Formats: sequence, structure tokens, C-alpha cells
Amino acid sequence: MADVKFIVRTADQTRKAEVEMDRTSIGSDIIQAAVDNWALPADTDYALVNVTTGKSLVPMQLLDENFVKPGDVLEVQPVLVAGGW
Amino acid sequence: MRWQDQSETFALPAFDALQARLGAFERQKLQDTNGELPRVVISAACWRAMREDVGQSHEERGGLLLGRAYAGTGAEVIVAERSVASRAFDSTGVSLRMESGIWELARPLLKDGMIVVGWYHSHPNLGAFFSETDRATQRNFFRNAFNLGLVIDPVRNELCAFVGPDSMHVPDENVIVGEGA
Repeated sequence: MADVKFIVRTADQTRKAEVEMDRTSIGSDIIQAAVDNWALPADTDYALVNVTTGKSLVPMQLLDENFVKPGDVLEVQPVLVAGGW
Repeated sequence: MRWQDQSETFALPAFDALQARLGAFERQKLQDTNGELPRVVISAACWRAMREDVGQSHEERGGLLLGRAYAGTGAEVIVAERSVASRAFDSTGVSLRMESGIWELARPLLKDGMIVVGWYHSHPNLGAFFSETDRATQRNFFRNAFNLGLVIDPVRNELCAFVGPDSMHVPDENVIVGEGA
């Protein structure tokens, strides 16, 4: 199946990468790639949002044309935790 | 899969660019700070919004800080211009989990040079300090030298500021809250 080339960035927009993936890849593959390449913590929950279309991608979502088009910008958004102890 | 990092070094505007954006009160206050250490300016509007968010709740609250950062003569000057309160969260008196939707609230506001400069949360009646969990969040997601973490204890009326991936404590005299806050 054809590859698709798109942009991935962190939610604070300080990091970005051009990524090319097979369309059989899924949302969690993108998150895992961001974790690996940007040394993000693996024990954190992340959401993946296509900010070009405004659609969220669930972890098992295939990167088909309905969700990711060439040149789209996808954002990896972490849950933030804090604690008083 | 091919991954080509395109992250760019974030070039902070010079300190001179900040002066024109400040009122006389903040400019005067800045002169009394130690420029060798990071300095933090919290606009009055940002402070009021944060205080309104954390209120007098006995459960933790928090959000993102948006603003600008400048290259000072010795260390960064971080200006928090507005806050974005988390709307989807789980909290207790000693913990807070802010769901990822907070980034969606912030994104439309990131224009004209406005960036995510940091985050804030409350420690109701626990004192204002950074816990190990807070330090991990700062290290993992606010890892630039100009990234700010604020902790507010609305019960004891305390405020503490930390910057950078190592959560360097900013001395109280280097934290300026805008006039009229």
C-alpha cells in the first residue's frame, strides 16, 4: 500500500518532523515514533489530532485517506499530571 | 517508516523587544531584579485568570501559560500573558490530571508570536513547591530553558516559579506580577 508523507509536531509546537508511513500504519505507530525519536515518556497517555482537519485519531485508526492526507499536520498531545506529594 | 526531524532551535527575541510591551510598573520592577537569573513577568490579566481558576478549591486545578520569552542579558525573561484553564481534568487535594484537550484550547491562541511558555497548577493548603511528579512533567513536556512552571497555594496565598527542564527555582524577587493584579 502507498506511503503517505505528513508532519508530526509536539503540542507545544517546539518540535516537528516530516514522517513517511505506510497507510497500513495506525495512530499508535505515530505516537510510538514520537516517543522514540523525541525521548518522550512512554508511561504517559497521548492524544493524536490531525490539526489540518480537526479530527482526532484513535490509537487503532488506520492512516487512510479519510484521516491523513499528504502534507497534513498531526499533533501529539500529552496528558499533564501534577501532584502535591 | 521514515522520520526526518525538522525541529528548529527556538531563537528568543532580544530583551529590548520586551521593554516596549511592558507598562511603566513592570519596567521599573524589572530593574530591581537579578538579570543573571531567570525572570518571570505575569500579566495582571493572567494572574487574575489563574486565581479565578484555582479559586479557593480544595482540589488541585491547573492549565497552560501562554506568552512570550526573551533572551535577557544573563538569563531568559519569561512573560506569561494569559492562562488557559483545563476544563477536562481529574483532581483531588493532592493530584491533578489534565486531559489532552487543553492543548486544543491553547492552539487557536498561538499566533502573533504567542507561544506556550509553561503551565500552572494549585496546591491547596499544601504550600507552593514542585513535587517529584511536577518535576517529571516539567522535564518531559516543558523542557526548553524558557519553560515556566507555576505553583499557587490559594489558601496560604503562596506562589512559586520554576523554569527549565531541571525545574530551577526562580527567586521571589525575580517574579513580577503585573500592576493591578
